[in-house]
Amino acid sequence: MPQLTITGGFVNRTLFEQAKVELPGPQASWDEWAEATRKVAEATQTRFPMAIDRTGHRVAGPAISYGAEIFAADGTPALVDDGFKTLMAKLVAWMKDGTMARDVWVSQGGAAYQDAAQEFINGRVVYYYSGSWQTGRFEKAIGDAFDWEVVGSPCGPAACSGMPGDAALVAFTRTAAPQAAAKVLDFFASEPVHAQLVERTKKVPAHKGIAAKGLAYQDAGPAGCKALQAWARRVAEIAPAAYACRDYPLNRVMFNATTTRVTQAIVGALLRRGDGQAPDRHRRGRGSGQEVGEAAECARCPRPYRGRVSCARTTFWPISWTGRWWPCTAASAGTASPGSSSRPTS
Amino acid sequence: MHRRIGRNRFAWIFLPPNLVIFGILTYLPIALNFGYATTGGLAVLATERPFVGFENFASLLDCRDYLDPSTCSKDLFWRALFNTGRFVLLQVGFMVLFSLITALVLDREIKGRGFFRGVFFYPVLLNPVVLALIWKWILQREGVLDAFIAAFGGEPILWLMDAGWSFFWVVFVSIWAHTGFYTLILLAGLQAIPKDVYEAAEMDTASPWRKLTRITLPSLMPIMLVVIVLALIKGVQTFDEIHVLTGGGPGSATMPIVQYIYETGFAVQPRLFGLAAFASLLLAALLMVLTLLQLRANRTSYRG
Repeated sequence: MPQLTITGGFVNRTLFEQAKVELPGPQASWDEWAEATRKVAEATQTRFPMAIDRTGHRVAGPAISYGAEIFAADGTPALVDDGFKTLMAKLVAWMKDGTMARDVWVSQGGAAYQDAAQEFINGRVVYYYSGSWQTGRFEKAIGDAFDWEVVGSPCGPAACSGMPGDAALVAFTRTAAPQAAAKVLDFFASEPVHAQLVERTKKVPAHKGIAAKGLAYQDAGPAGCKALQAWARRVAEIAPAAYACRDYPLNRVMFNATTTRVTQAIVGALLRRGDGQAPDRHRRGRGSGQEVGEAAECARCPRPYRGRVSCARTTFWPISWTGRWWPCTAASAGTASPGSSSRPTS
Repeated sequence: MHRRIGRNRFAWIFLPPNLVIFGILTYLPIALNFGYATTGGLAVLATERPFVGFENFASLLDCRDYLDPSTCSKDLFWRALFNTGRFVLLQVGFMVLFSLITALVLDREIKGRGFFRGVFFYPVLLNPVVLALIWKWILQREGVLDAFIAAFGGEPILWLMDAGWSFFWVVFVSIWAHTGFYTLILLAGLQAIPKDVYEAAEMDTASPWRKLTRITLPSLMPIMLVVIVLALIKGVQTFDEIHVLTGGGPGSATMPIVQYIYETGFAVQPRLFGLAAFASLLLAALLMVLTLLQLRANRTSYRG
């Protein structure tokens, strides 16, 4: 059935009350949340001030809030830009200094998913950034153990956006009964039916009008009802870049690369041998305009490889011998967008 | 029937079923692997994949400095390769040493010899996934080891979240799991050494150290060679234990080459079958060299 999901934060309100720290407001920034949760964790001896699920999807919304555009003007993916780097640098620093639960990210290898929901349920995390789909689980598992609530996505300089996700009802274009199919779709999309559906299934509405009016969620408990209403209010804050990212068919490629590389940054595996610096190609970001020289060099490649960026300076002997296997390996220079593959997606 | 069609031809009646099974399940996938290794794109069907020749090969070997994975286009491949190299060197070296020491001790007339032989061999009976899970419970945050340390007033250590420690534990668990198997082989080798040689040495008042270095170790060398090559092959193939224990993490600190191939081809999007296929061909070449070494070692061992 049609529904929306949205990423955002949950907070353990009881811990805030115990620590006598005021809950940051709806427009609070990530830095303000980090500061407040650190105080709470310290006062209440809670293990982790913050936690965020180990997936590139979860950090995409915050990155967009910091100005990441994800796509270039021509619509091609351009994941790594200043906004993206700013947020990732913050995350890595927070994981290193203990503000963010490092365990969630470094206890896994590759791009494996890991959430911190159980840590939040156990009262070991003050602020947990996940998504609306956790609401039912928390309502059931936490019960009366402590008060919790949904606080949405913290703000950055560009937005206060989470990442949307959804389920939709569709009809096949080749259906033998297009009129009947359209009627079914209209029925489920109509305001009263959709409102009743999302209320009964405890989901976030995929209908702007219903979201604006608000829903009662009679079947949900007080905490669940409040949380679902909060999620519905947050839908309006989703940035256009977040929708574009959701709709991109290969977005998992970006998410997986983010997960792997951020984890490597946390454990210090991206440092260059000797100087402790990230290698040039990583710092610059391909196609950022600083690689004109390399791209021009690649223009000399044999035809099948012409136009590809990133010629390796060290060539492997069979390649340089024949000239046929010119070592140009990345995406086409003509289509490469700023930072589209600043790190290889090995 | 045996007489009618002849002794040699009789074998051909039984061969076809096996040839079909091996053909479909072994040789066809190998041929497909060669095919996929020279193709690119994301399509699953070979017919829909564009031919790219050796581009996957060039991509895997595109590095500025082969000793620094950060400078490589496919840096995870090189990290996995270095991890596997380090793992094999440490694991095989220490495992063979421990196996030898254990075999030497268990070869002596000590009390409870049968019991100790069972104790050392027991981990070999366990499924690699089961033993990795057991060690994960021991080593994870608030695991058994941390509880033990805390009970003595120590500070818990994040064993599996530090690159150095997690690599240490991956090697340790692997040694613990496989030492029994190689001990058994070396024990058989020790028991095959004729006792009269030792008796002659004793009559010549040779010291225990001299007997070890001049009789035991030289006699055991052919078996030792087989053990080393077998352990090398097994070490290069290691995947399941590490995958369960650390998942190749933290980051890529313990990712072995087999996991890289698995993740590149199947687990992580985009599924780069061509790249994974070429990486697996390189791994196959490495394993073939090791297998040839093993065959040679076996021949040496057979000749004595």
